[in-house]
Amino acid sequence: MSATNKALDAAFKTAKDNGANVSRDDLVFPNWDPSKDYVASDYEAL
Amino acid sequence: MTQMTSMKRRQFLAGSAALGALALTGAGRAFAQEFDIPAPIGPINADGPFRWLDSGDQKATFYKAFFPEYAKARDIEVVYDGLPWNEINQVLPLGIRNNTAQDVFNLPLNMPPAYAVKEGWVQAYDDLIPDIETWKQGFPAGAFLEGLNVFNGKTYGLPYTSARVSSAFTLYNRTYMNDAGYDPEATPLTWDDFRAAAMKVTEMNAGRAFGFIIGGNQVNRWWDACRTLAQTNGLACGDRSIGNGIDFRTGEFVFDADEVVGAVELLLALKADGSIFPGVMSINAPQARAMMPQGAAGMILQGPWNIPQWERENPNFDFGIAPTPGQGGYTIVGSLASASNTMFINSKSKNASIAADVFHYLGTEEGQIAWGNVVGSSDPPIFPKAVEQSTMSDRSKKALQMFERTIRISPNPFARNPELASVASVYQEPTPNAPQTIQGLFTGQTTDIKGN
Repeated sequence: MSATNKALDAAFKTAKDNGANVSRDDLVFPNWDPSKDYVASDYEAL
Repeated sequence: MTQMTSMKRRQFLAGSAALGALALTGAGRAFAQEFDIPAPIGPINADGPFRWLDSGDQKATFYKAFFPEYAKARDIEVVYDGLPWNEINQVLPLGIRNNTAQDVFNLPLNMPPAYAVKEGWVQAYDDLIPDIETWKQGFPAGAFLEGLNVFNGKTYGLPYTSARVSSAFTLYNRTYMNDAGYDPEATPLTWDDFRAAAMKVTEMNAGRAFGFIIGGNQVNRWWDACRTLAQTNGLACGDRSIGNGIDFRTGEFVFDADEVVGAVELLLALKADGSIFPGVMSINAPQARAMMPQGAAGMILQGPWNIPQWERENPNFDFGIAPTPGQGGYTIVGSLASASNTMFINSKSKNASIAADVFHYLGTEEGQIAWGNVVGSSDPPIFPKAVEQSTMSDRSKKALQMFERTIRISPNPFARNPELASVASVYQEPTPNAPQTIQGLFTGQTTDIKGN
């Protein structure tokens, strides 16, 4: 687990160093209800 | 005059064999019936042959039947190339560079659409389809999504096949399971039922057949099976790229969640019971699939592409379909539309009016039904109504309708921030990753179940 997290963090760092505007927070969707399809309005509500 | 592709002879022969086999099935009926090509959506301005590239397989069976009739109706020449992915990954970037790429193509695997848009490979088609908003409203909600096939409000990709598909639902030998006292279609299996049924089938067949089979030397099958089993018991996580194994509510990996550990332990218990086909570590998924109609096992966890293949090649095989064993939780997939099947129009195409005309047809009920008639449940149409009205088998329809009830679409990080493509392109999972760890646990090479 920690190795996987480290690998993902490293990939974010490399991407950012290369100029990408990205963050681990881009993977957090607090309004996700897994019993429903996540649709366009859910992205807009973030 | 339609000209087929410049495929290698070997590929052409393989395709011809597939066409021959299809003549015996429901899909064959679709070949016999003519396509009802509608009037064009606007003026058709052909400049040289109209060229279409995709990854072939079942899609090729549709286009090899459709394009000759379409070409005749429009009085144009069509060249269809169905190539394996590894060739697309090489040929397409080269074609873009040399200005020889096809008019329409699907992107190389793992190439984010945002990249193709940014690099100017593809063009929007909003101005090519009259009243495009009305046409798009015919698609199920979620088919068109900013960041996946829409960029800055412009429509670039055609999302015409559904990704609401499980690659690990229950397909079972009805005779074995009924004889063992189980009817998963009527009463879906829990994990305990799954284990007990596998044991009973094994016992009743006394070494001639086993309860469960898996293509064990294909490492991805271990994670697909365990992730899906875990999800039906309540795990919620993504299934692809940098979202694979992440619970999007927290953004954290859940490879070591109780549900995943439980799913792994379930498979290890089946092994300890002697309920798993003994040779699983030397067979891949297609080989495991081929052994089911031979009576090697009672159950397999695979995808809907098994159904037309078994019905075609083993018409006497009596098999049933049911949800993945568990407590009825949802299987999670990363998008409604199949990303790999999404089609794009070359930005340099001089035949964009034809591309849009074909896109329009594929996004109508009529086109979707025709697609479902030929392709069946392998690459299902994205309109649920087209599934109902197509000539695919009742069993295929039942599987796809079951997916509507049991599969939900997760957030897609790339739809939120297309720049994540630059993370995905450099991310490398540490080894052993989840599939390798599970495979290693099964073979006894590791005992650390939370090791990843």
